[in-house]
Amino acid sequence: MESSDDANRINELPDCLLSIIISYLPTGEAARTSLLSSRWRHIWSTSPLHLDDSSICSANTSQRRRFGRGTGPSSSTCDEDRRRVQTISRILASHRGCIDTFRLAHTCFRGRKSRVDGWFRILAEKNIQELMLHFPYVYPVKEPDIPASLLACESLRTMELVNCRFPCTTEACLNLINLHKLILDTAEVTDGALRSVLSCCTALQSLSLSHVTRLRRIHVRSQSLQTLEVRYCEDLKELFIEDAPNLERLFGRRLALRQWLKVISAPKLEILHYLTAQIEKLELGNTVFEMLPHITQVSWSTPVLSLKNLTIEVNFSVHEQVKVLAGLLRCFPCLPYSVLSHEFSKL
Amino acid sequence: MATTGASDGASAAKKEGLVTLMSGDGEIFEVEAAAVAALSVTIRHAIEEGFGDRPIPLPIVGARALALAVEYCRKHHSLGGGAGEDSAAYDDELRAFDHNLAKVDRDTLFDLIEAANYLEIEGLLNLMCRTVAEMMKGKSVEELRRTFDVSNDYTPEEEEEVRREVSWALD
Repeated sequence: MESSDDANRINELPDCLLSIIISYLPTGEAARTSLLSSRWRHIWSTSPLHLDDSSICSANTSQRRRFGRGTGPSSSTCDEDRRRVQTISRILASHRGCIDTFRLAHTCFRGRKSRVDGWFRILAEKNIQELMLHFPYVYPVKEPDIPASLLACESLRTMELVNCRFPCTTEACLNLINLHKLILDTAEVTDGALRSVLSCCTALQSLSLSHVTRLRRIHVRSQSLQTLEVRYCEDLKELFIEDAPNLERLFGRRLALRQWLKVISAPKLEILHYLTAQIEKLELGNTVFEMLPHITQVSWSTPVLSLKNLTIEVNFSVHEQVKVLAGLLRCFPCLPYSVLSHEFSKL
Repeated sequence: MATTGASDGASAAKKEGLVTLMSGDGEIFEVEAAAVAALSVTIRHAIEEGFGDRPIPLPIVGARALALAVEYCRKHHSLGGGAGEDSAAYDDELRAFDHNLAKVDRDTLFDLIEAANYLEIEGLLNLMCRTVAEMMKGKSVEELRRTFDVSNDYTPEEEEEVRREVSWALD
């Protein structure tokens, strides 16, 4: 099967196909192909770059980091961290192609603002498409700041930030006009920053917020947004869907726990998932549920929503919650009952 | 390949919704136009340009690779997988199909890469390129040279320079 005729067929493929092949290799192995021959050196240095720092540090260190939560960085991990940062800078400086993906899960930004700024400038120039920054938990200071220069990467389509502080931004410096998907997890985000994201990221279709702190109000006005996920955002008080003509799915976990959820205009909303009946105030179209102590007031009119799937968590031993459920069922008589998930919680 | 319906072509009357393809080695395939046009940009363009009843010539695609490519288009079209691997529609059955297709021998693998590239079937091209990458993974530079018969054209000085460039990636 491995006759020499078969074997050398890889050499007959055009550069663009070899580029695709090495895009499936871990960053380090892709770089090593440049030792094969001058042709492969050219291909590595001009192919779209997929930079992943897990391929730059040894597997042993990654394991230690992942499970070493709570302990401070030792001197050897500091050395390795420094080497990795230098390597990332070297790759970004020497690589001549565009950059498709940039994923860091083992690299800390703390104390490196100007260097990271430089990286983001290069990413912006080289048409970065997908960026993932998962900051390690081992460092004493959680939630490193992300330089605002990230928000100038116009070509970005997907961005995922974990365990960090989202830049306090103004609309003026936000240029993520091609961003389709944004995931913020265990992040600190201000109301103003999210407002800027929603108004400036005009291509944003999917927004996911999990364990986000500091965020109190989300007022959604977006022509492009199709999916919104809000999970475990403990500081959140208000979630208003003010004008979201393309919003189809609203997913939550602990959504509307002591919160005010208001859906004013979302004509395509089909899925409202995992609402909890421990809500303070719920407005769906013109229907208002308001939970005052010992009284649940429901004033309602014809619902304007196109809901097809509603999931709500109800504690049947709490009368107010049952009333909310009954009210919702009256609002949406066409909803299939089987989709409702009733959860009995312990008193 | 029984379902591909290789026929003698000349006598085959044009049937509704079918398109005739001719491989580089002269074999004729009658296939559902919708399936191949949905997945192959090249064939879609050829149909739009109006090849009519004449077979669409695919000069660099051999019969064996074409049959597999058609099978790929048919399967992905029928299971709604035109949307790409990340989509929910890309279900287990398609994954299993892809997995099996990737088990072809090395010669067919490269035939399929060339065919997918010519026919512009993005999913098939990526699948096959990823398969080659899997074959490369974990191999040393020397092992790669042997496996793929790549000759070293560096002078010792050049090789040293490249080695310095990628020193971070060497053990």
